Amino acid sequence: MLDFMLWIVISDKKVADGWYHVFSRECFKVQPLGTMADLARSAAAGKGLALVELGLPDIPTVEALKSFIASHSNLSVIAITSTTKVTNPMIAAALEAGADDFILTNIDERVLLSKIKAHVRRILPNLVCARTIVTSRNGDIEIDRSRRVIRTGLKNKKPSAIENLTPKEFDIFSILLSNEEQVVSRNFLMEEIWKEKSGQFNCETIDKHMETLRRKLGPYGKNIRTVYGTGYIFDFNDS
Amino acid sequence: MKILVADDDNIFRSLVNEILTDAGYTVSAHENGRLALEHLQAEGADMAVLDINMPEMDGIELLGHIRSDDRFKNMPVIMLTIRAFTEDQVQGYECGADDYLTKPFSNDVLIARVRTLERRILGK
Repeated sequence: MLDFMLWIVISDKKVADGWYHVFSRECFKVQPLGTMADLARSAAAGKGLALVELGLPDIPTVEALKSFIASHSNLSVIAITSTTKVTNPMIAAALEAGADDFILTNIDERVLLSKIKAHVRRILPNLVCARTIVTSRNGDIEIDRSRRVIRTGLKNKKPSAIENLTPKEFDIFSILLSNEEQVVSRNFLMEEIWKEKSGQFNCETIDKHMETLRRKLGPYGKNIRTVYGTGYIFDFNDS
Repeated sequence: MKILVADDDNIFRSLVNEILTDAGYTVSAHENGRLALEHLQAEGADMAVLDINMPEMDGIELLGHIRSDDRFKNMPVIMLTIRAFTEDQVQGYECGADDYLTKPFSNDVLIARVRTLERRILGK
């Protein structure tokens, strides 16, 4: 579904792990890396955004950053440093060198996420995980992924909220609505929802969640259809 | 390039005006969101630097007007604030802000951030 990658190139493993989870929870594809050489290899083919710590052994200076950015135009690079090392001239120099932003390692995770989403919205306006609001094509259902609220009945101007979904049910519905009229496989849902733990569950787990999700969606439950042997599709086609 | 500035603090408004003018930008500075919006709708602008807390119309409301107007919905916007509260920043980004600067800020950082938005969003 997504061909957009977030790379985290940072020496502090605790920060890297924390950020990895912040982004992957939001369905971003994330890859933590150790060096700029790894980044260059990984990013050779794809489009994405790289969070890069200044001062890593293979990117010791702002000049090194500048030359890396100049030779990787498919990437958007955000410079990172720790609070103990930061100075205003350093921020200005990194931005002038071509970094698209400058952030500190102690940034609040919610601010980090909303900031990165703001970047991704500019790079790929249609990328689902960067969109806070996802609306069905007919305008009847709206999901606010930030506030985790689902509103229905918007077409008839009789809005009501669906409030009793579990976090997993919310995420499943969010993925289905984001891919409206496209078949979403069970495996894809497993990987997106359970991430690295997806191997511990089988397809019946998804089927059970889908059953309760359909029930909780009330009249909209029938719009989630099972595609035999493959997965699920959400649409408003009456068939 | 023309930058719309809105800040009710006279000292900061003058300062931002001066920094950006010295850097070669054309600046239109206003003391609240409503006046800034009126100017924007009549005269246009290429970028906006908006304080959050202003009388009459605050920066978030002004940002909402900017993002819902087809002429300006893609305009780069930097928010300024004296507070670095998480909620404020998250709300700013969620409402469509591109960057965030906490007062006081260095002249060089403001200019570098403006230039960065110019490069990455306006492609200059």
